[in-house]
Amino acid sequence: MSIAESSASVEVSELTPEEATAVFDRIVRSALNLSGEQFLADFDAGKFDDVEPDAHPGLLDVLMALPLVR
Amino acid sequence: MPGATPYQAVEAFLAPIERALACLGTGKVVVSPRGRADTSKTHSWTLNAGKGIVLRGQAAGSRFLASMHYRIIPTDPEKYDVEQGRWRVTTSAYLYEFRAPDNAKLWAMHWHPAGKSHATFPHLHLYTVRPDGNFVTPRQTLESAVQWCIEMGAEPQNSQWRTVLAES
Repeated sequence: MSIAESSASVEVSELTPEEATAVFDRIVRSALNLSGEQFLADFDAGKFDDVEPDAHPGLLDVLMALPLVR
Repeated sequence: MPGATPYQAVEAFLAPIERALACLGTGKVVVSPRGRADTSKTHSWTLNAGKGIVLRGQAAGSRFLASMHYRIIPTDPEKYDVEQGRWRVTTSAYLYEFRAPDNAKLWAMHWHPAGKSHATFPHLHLYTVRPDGNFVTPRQTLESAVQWCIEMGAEPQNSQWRTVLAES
């Protein structure tokens, strides 16, 4: 196994509400091909109530990102 | 990891996460708004805003995705020493996934107890072994997921990675 001699680092970035909305929208578009706004409307209407996240590709990615906007 | 304030508790919670992820590369732990202050709601962090980290070495081009839900809670004096900090952070969900360069999921450690999922317990997906099911596991740590990435061929970005992961 090779080991890189790098200066890799990870920092924390706390989003503003506006930034979080944009990140959430990007995640939803990438995962479900919906806008963030459309997903939230569908979510609030119960469209995903009976959907198993593990069986619906992309849904868990979006649910994990939900605290960005809720 | 306790803290005198919510901010300090979250900083103490995130510090070992930052160190563990840095064993794989450079990136950002992106925290939801007021995720170091607001004690009234569930927060999340995601690695590079959901994009994950691109791995190097034999796993070059593969990605590691990670995110957690957490809450900032008052320290329970019956369980912990309040003198060490009045606030703590508790994890309420996690997602750690290893994706091949074509974005196919090879394995995933999940725990998402809220919502309608049948799998409210921590579980492991081994997609090539059991495409439509999962394996029940104890709660998995981010550090173990990082170690799995390295064992899958990701080049460690820190020669002391074993020590870093063991101490996190």
